[in-house]
Amino acid sequence: MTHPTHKAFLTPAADVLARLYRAIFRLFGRQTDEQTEPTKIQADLCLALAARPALPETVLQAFAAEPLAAGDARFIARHEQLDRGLAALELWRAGRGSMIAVTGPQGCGITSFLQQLAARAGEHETYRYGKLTRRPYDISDTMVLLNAAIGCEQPRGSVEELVEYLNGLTPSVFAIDNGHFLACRIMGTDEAIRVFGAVMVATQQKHLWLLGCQEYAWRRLSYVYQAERYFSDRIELAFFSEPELGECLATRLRGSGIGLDVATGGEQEPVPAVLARHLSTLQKLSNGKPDLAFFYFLNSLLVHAETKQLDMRAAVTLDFSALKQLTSEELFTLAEVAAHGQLTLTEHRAVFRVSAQESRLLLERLYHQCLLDKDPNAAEPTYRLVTVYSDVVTRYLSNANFLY
Amino acid sequence: MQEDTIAQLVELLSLSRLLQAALVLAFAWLALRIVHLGLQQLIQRFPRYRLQMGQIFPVIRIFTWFLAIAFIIFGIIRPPQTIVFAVLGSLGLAIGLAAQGGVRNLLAGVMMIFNPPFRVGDMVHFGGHYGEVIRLDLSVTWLRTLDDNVVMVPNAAVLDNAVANANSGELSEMVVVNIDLPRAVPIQELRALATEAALASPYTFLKKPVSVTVESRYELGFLLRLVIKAYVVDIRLERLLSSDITERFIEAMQAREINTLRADSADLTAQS
Repeated sequence: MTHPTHKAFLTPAADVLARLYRAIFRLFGRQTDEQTEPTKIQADLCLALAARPALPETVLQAFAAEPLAAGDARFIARHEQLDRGLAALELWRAGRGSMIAVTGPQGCGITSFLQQLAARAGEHETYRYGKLTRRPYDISDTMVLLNAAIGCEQPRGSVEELVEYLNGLTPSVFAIDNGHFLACRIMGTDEAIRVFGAVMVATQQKHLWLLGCQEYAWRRLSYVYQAERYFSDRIELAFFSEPELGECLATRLRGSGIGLDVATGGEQEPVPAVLARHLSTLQKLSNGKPDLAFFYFLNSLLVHAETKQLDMRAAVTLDFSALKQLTSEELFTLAEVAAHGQLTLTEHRAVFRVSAQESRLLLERLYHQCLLDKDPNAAEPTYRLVTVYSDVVTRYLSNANFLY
Repeated sequence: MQEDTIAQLVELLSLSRLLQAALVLAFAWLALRIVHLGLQQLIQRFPRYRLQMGQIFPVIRIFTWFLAIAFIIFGIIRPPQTIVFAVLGSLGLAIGLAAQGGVRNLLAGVMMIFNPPFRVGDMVHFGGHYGEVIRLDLSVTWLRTLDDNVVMVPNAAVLDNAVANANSGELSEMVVVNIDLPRAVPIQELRALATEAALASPYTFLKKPVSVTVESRYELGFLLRLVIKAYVVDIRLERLLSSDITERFIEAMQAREINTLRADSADLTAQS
């Protein structure tokens, strides 16, 4: 019979030896019989995405990862960036228009940020929010998209006409979203980008232009067209820090109508205790990306049916090992999808100069591995990175030298 | 005297000492194997830094073997000075006479450790061959050429010939694509097309500039040469980028119906 103290000593020692044994085997590229440690259970990407957490509808709605409308109370942090936006608004009011880029990784909240700036514009000031709905391929295409984005009721057909029309308007703020559509690696599209830039540059004396653009697309525009030289400021949005993530989750949790502060007698804690215990893990797993943090949080959250009390279990991490199995062709495809924001089948064919069948095969394979998402409403199959974990994929691609 | 020396030598090389020496050598080999596998794992995890990590191993290997041999001689065998001098003298004479080239290669290898003209992963012109450095030994360097041949180049070549390093420890390198065209083609339009073709290739490293220049040449008639210079994102994709740019350029010419044959005949007519 083993003495309890001996047992208490032997168990960690055996654990250390087992870990060492597994580490040595892994170093030599072999798998031990014991595949995973109980604390590191990994969930299949597709199954995890399809599963719906068993939580009240109000909680799920509160954590919906959608852009926030102007004045939405769930918009938190970004104080320094908002100050810079407001400083640009002040300059514009004083008669000094300019061009400002708002950049950040996919899913960091560029659309929400542009909407919040609208809420800070004066009552009698014109703030027009528009977005590019697709990629422009040539000059006429750009004119159509620009007319729509700025809300021009009688579309102008040439750059000169559009510039004249814009310079005839009262000074306005034009916030153009989805600027990543401008970064395109298809031959013949550079004229479209130059036209877009020409209209903005020619009218910046009067208007304030805000261009929302995903980070990698912005980098490409800067490398190839020196875009940063034409913009007077670039407001960079990063993912949340740990305290910001805590505030974000707490705000949404309170918005879901669950009585979080019952235990503290109604006194609000900045971050509820149940959340504070797991915040560091959530930050580490999500890198501060809100929708990924929501995903992990909702999958760990337990709401007792009767007492409505909250509890959290250990987060089950997502299994990204599929990335390691990809060929360089597939990794290049993912990198181009990431840099372009999205790619249609035709665009993929043009970028990689492959047949329609090859393109479909490649994109569909990545889609079925849940590394790409497909827009079901688009006229042509359109693929983009799965937004929830796009950051994990782009970091992997960057580390493997496919994205820069 | 000579018999005494031999007797001392036999005494020194007892079975237990030989076993100890073998154990040290086995341990050194195992340690190097573990370091190598560990580095391979790191390279797989951080491919972007594969060149920096790849250059560590040759240095570690040489120092490990040097330490192991020094330990065997001075820690296990511990020969008296007379034996050391006798063995060194004999070895020196034998090696000097029999392996002049080998010693030269070894010396060049040692020199390359302290003043490396390239590292594992670089694309180099070395000893008359062009390819990726895949392994650095003390006396030879192994290259993988663009035709996928593995070439062993003696390190002494570094003492006699110039070494051209295309990327110097970076993953990107410049790729030059030459396209010859008849003289009567629309130069500006084609120069713009060539630039666009280089920028459109997914293998082009956009962080570095793309340039297109035009040269005049004469080969059985006057020609124009477009020289497209672009950086490839990874040295291993050098040929792929070169081919991709050429294909894109030719396709774009065809799409715009720029007929080089017609232009050629027009050029010949103009010459006549």
